Amino acid sequence: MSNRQLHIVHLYPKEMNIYGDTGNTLVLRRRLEWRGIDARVTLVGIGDEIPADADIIMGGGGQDAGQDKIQADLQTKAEVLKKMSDDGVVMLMVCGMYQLFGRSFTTNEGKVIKGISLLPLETTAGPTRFIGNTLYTSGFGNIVGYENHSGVTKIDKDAERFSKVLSGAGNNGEDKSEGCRVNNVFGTYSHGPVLSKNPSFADGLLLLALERKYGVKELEPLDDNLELSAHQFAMERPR
Amino acid sequence: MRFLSLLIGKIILGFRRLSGGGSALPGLVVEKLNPGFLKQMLAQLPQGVIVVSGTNGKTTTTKTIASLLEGQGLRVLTNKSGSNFVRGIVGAVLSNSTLGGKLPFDIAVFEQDEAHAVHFVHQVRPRGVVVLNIMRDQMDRFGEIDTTAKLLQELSTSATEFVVLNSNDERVSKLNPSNGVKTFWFGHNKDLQHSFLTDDELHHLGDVSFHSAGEPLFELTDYKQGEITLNHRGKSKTLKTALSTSHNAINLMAALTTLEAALPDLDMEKVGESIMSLQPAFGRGESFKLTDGTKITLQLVKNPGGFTHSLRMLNQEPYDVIAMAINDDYADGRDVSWLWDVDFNHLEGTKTPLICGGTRGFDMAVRLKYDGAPTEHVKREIADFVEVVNLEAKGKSAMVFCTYTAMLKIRSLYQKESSEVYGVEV
Repeated sequence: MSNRQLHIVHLYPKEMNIYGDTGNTLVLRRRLEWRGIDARVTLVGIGDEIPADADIIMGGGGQDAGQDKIQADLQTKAEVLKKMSDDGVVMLMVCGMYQLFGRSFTTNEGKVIKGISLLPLETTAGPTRFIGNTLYTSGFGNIVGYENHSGVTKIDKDAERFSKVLSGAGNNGEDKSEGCRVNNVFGTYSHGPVLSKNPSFADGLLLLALERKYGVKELEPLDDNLELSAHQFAMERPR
Repeated sequence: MRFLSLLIGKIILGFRRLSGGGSALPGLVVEKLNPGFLKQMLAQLPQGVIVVSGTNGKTTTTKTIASLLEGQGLRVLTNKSGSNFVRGIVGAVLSNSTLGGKLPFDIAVFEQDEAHAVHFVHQVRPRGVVVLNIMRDQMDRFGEIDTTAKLLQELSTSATEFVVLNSNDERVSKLNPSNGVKTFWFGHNKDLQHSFLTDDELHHLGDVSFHSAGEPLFELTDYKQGEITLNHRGKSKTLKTALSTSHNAINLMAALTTLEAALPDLDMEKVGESIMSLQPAFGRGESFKLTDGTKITLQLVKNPGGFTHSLRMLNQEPYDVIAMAINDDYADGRDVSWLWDVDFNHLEGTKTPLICGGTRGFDMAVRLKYDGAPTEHVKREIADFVEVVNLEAKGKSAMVFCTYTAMLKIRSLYQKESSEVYGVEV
């Protein structure tokens, strides 16, 4: 495995960097290194190009001010990202970036911010803020996380939801859906950072990327005792 | 109206005390009865009101300013940590005033978080405002950093005589007082840049640049256990003090600057004496010595800036054991994602035993693992955690980083056990 390498790109670490979501990139990097696979991390900011050989693209939540700053730049990257999505590149977008990967975000004042339409969904700022610990069930098993958003996200009927809400609000607090998936692009409201306490999700993303690049069918197991304990105890905490 | 509201407030206060209740209710009632109460009462203070705000260090700085002013012979009214709602201040005024409506103090120093400070200054314009730093706090409790800066701008504008600002914090240094109001700076010199960081450096993963907006009245130039060196009006002084951790030392600079701003004819000899007897606030660099000689230091951590800053202190002051207790009760903040915005890189491969604890002890251990720092023990129960810390650090020293509710529990355990609470080790 020693010659293998994945190129992880983290979008807008400067502007979209609250809630510790950059931790997801660290989790992926370490879990590759522990298996003897090289991890190359590139931070992509406003005006930077997305490297053409990206295997995994990550994005996180930000402040309103951060979201304002990146919108226009994200539009210039829309076409490249769409091609990469069709090509099976793995992406994980959390909270603010999840919303901007949809078609639009409508603010409290009724202003419509254009997204890049990679995910079939629309978000409207709602009257209540959804805050608290969350538990979802997904194709990667149970997902523990923390949500903090006022966005109400509605996904197209036939689109694939990332997970089902067991506890928390999820996409909109109504239909028990959480997140979205198109090709290998995942969107979710889960912070935590989400990959830190859900090693099956982290490895699921790595396997998708390694399979696409090298045809890998299985990952070498790691000692996840600490991560699984953190996962277990997070499930027991109140909302 | 003042006397009626005072009387009713005091009666409620008395009943609340008998029933063991807090100080919020009397404040609430008095505010409703007489919205001008606070303004009328505080107007009696000949030396006015000073408000201390910022993300980190409010409690220590407020306590230090109060002690230094008392050292100059002034009677100082202050609010207890944690009661920094306007109502908490009404409560402090109520319980410290006479039935005749007299407030027998010379000056007041109030700790206020950003949002409450703005409410407070709408009622009472302070003589002086102190702003320590602007950092990202836990996002589930406070808004966004730019909003915070706006609140602190409003606070700064409200000062009638002086503002005391951190010269090294770019956001703080951009705050503008009203016309005719004097600005006094505090800060540290360039050599100590590695010990202090701004919020932007913390999040940008990039360059560390030294920012200095103005010449500090009191400038920290060195610190080590039990001793600090500062520069004041071109003279270098080395002082013995228990406030010698990096946080406490920089907060001491803020306090000294405030003291000189408030009392221009300062008795410097008395200041020196006061500094010798200052003690760290509750859980902020506070030390306990156990009967077997073990020394335990507690450091409260609340947000990425404060935690990262505290970790840098380890470069200056080594400990034999490093422990971290992370709870996620409401007062700690339920969300522990912020631990991933803290940089633990320099603990990579450390030989120092690491112990994690609290309801989110495993989250902490996972965080350390991904920065290459292996944890020896994880104990969710604080009592078990303290037992392991004592065992590992037996006869040596341990630094315990803890969130608020973890700190309260750990502190009460050590208070039972320790032979003395001490600050200075000479």
